[in-house]
Amino acid sequence: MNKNLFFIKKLKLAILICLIQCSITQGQQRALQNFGETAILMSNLSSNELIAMRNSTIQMNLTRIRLDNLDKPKEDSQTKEEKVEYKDLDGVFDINVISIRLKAIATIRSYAKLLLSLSSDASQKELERATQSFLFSVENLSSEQKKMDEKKLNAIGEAIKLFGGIFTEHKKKDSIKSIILESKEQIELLCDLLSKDFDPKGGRLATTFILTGEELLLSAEEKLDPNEKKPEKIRSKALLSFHLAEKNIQKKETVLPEIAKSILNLKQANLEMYEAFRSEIYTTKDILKFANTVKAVQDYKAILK
Amino acid sequence: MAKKEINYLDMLDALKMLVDKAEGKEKSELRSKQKEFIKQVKKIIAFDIEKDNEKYASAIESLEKTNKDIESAIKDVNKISHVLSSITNTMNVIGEFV
Repeated sequence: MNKNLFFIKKLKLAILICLIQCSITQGQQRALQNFGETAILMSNLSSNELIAMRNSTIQMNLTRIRLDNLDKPKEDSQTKEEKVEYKDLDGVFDINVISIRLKAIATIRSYAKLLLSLSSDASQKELERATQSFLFSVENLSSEQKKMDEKKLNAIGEAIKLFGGIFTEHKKKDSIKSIILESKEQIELLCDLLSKDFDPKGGRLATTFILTGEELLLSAEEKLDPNEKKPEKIRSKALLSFHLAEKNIQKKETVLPEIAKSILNLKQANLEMYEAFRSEIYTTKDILKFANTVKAVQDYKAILK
Repeated sequence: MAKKEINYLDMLDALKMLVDKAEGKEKSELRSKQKEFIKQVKKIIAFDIEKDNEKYASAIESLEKTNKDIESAIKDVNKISHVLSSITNTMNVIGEFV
């Protein structure tokens, strides 16, 4: 009898230890939270910057055309090139191009929100909503951006269902691991594509943005050249244009490379988070690095406002 | 064919440095070339040109040569007239496919 009681106690202890080991540790939960919160912040910053870049490009092109026309005789009709320029003020920041990028950012944001739901006491309904939002945003990606097939998307849907089942804590970690694993390549691809857009050393959008600033700066410098002896009215408009161009060109050294870096750090932090679940070793190095670069972007944006 | 890339913004920075050093007529001529350079590069980027073709490769080669000419003229402003013709030549090469 005593022998049986002792055996049952030992069995209970073994199950308890097993459940503790199988459940999410506080460290892992913190990793999910830190990653999720910083990724949401980063996605907000990058989508705002993308829209700001488009608006500034339109503003700079318009200002330059007007500035160049100030000292032209009024009877001069618009050249063919000018007409084309007026019709294409946003250049490569075409609404469709921006919309594709915003969808990619929305996918990262919904992924971060899903991870935050998993790390909190969210209800099964809330989890399902967060999952649906993530899966929907992946389905909305363009073909070049999409890395997840039907099988992977279904695996995520299945993983979430496990949360509502028995042995929730026991299964929770496996489900999170499965979600992070299935999404890993998708998040990595989006990070690579987005960081390239913001990279002033070769990125299509960032380079064009800076070139637009340089074009305006050049027009303003011509009008401000003392040898040109331009009237005061033109010089004061040129001065304002000069300031607008400088403010945007400055982003080449500040906001743009920092956003590109923070997106690449997000990719690295995502990998670290996966490792935290896969190998039970929890480190914060890459997640902290990611959080710090996002903080740097925030600081620059606050200064440049 | 190996894909060649060039950092347009670094090249523009070098050109700006040369404009700062130039004077008089050469300065205004360089500025006008700088404007042309920006316009053409924006077109290359906007058209998202196929980087595997020969015309693109020769444009990049020409840009690299002009870049070297600019760097050389920064050290010796007597070479500015050579830079002006080098840029004209490169713009013609780019103009063939944009």
